[in-house]
Amino acid sequence: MNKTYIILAMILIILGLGMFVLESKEQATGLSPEELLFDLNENTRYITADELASRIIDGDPSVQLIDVRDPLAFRNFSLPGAKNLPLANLCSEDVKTFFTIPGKDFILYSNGDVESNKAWVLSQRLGYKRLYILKGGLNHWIATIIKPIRPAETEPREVFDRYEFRLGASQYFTGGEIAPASNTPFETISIERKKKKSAVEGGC
Amino acid sequence: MKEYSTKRLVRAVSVFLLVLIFGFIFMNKKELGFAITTQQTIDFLLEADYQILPEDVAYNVESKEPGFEYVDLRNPYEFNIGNIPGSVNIPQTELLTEKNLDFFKAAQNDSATVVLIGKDEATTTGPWLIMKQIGFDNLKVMRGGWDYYANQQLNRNEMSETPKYMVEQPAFNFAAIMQLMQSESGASQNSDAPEIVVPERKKKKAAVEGGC
Amino acid sequence: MGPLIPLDIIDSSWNNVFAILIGILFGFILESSGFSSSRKLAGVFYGYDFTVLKVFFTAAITAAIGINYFHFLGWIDISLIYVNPAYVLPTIVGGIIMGLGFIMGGYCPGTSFCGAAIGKIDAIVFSVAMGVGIFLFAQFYPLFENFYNSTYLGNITVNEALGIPVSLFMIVLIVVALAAFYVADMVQKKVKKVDY
Repeated sequence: MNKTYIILAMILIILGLGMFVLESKEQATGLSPEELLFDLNENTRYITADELASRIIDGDPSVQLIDVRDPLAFRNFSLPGAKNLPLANLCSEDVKTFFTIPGKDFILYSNGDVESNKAWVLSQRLGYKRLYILKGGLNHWIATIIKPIRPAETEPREVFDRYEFRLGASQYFTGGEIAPASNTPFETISIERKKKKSAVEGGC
Repeated sequence: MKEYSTKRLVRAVSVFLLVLIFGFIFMNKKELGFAITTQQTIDFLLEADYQILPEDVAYNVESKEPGFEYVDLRNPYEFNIGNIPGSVNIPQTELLTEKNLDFFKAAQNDSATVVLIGKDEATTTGPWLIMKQIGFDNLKVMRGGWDYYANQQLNRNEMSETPKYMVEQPAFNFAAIMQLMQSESGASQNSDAPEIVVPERKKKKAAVEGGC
Repeated sequence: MGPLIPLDIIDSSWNNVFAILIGILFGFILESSGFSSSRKLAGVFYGYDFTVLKVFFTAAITAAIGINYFHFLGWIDISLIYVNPAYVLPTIVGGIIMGLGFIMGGYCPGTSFCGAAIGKIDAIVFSVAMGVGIFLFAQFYPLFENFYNSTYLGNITVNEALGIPVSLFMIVLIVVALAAFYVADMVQKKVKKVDY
């Protein structure tokens, strides 16, 4: 047996063992601070209440609302089809699987903008895709969609069009077409997970 | 058995190893990384107090309280329109440049508290979270941002229970409003409302048909 | 061609030029390592020459180590590498058919062209027959289309399928490769030498 072969074999094994070291060093997946800041500079993460309302009314299946408030507030009132994800649960395994559901726009909302921004930054850092924030949160949602204010007569035409749309949307969200939001069953994200798991076993 | 010459093989392996070694030597080491995990950040967020009230900031500015640095994250244009005296303008986009990081490091070494000021609290929270996760513990978010601070005099006169910067406070009793609206809309169900909803839908549908 | 064409640094019309250059290089290396000889190729089945096994196994582990290290160094992004979709049963059947053809003809597709290029008659016949086979396959494709598309697992890698980390899979692969080389050498010594 040639000596060179033994040396070459040793090199191979050392390189192979080196992979373990690389892997442990590479734990930090997701975005780097610069990438995160870059995403933050783009204000594309915001979705307006009007936009969201029209997407829900059109039955857009890609809308996945996520309520980042505490469960109590969520049970009291939430948007249709929303799932409750308090900040404290963000790192759990269920949530990880949930955020990888393909074809969904995950729209985070809270009462205002601040909590949803926090959740957005944290989830964006973990590398989840297609995350959005409801601009102005629920306060803005109620003030514009549910209780639209009649614009002054001097306002331009588009403002009135928007107002008309909001009136209709208000009817839609408070009327009998869908189950009232306060009566929607309390859905947690762990329910979603089972569905996802079976999908993984079957296909991809 | 014919003994093959291993010269070429050895040469190839040496080149491969050299490439790897050079790679490791010249690897662009990420100077900037997150110092704490997401879970740690969440734990911190749930417990610690990282905000500072605009009133306190105003007081500190007036009395020239030592140990505070004010960093304005808005763009230079907005900054020039109005700013807190003595504040430094670091636009959000340039937050992580070397120069500005040096500034934050210097402030950290002086154990000064850096107050971040953005347009409002929501826009300040993101940059603050990034800096926090990088490992700067001495940063605070000013509630309400410049929008509130600039109108402070006005806001103080306003007789409201909750200050305007409490954006996360529910402005309504949501459930009650929904109940109320439902009973109202139930009464006016047959009037103009469906007419508005339906055309909106039709329009959208047509667009989809055309697209596909 | 690497990152150059997708990033528009080089125009995509250069694709074919690069393909030809890489093909020439590949053919040259095949020929210079003696892969245009059907006897040498078939030797792996009869146990008198394991060059094929050694070359391809070494190529696989070298590439795997290289890709993983380069990924760590930030030169390539492993997630952007195209992973062939896995169809388990069709792959097994296809592998058996290819193996049979390999033993009988003494060539695999690439090396048959290599042999044909230096004027070996058996390689030319093999290449032509391969073309006929491809034509027949295409003609009768609807007959076994269902089977062809069955047991689809997606674009999955072995370590993903087994649920083990890449490093563990790599070290196992390396050990298996080294053991295979050793056993191959043992067998080669025992088997009667064939002159070719």
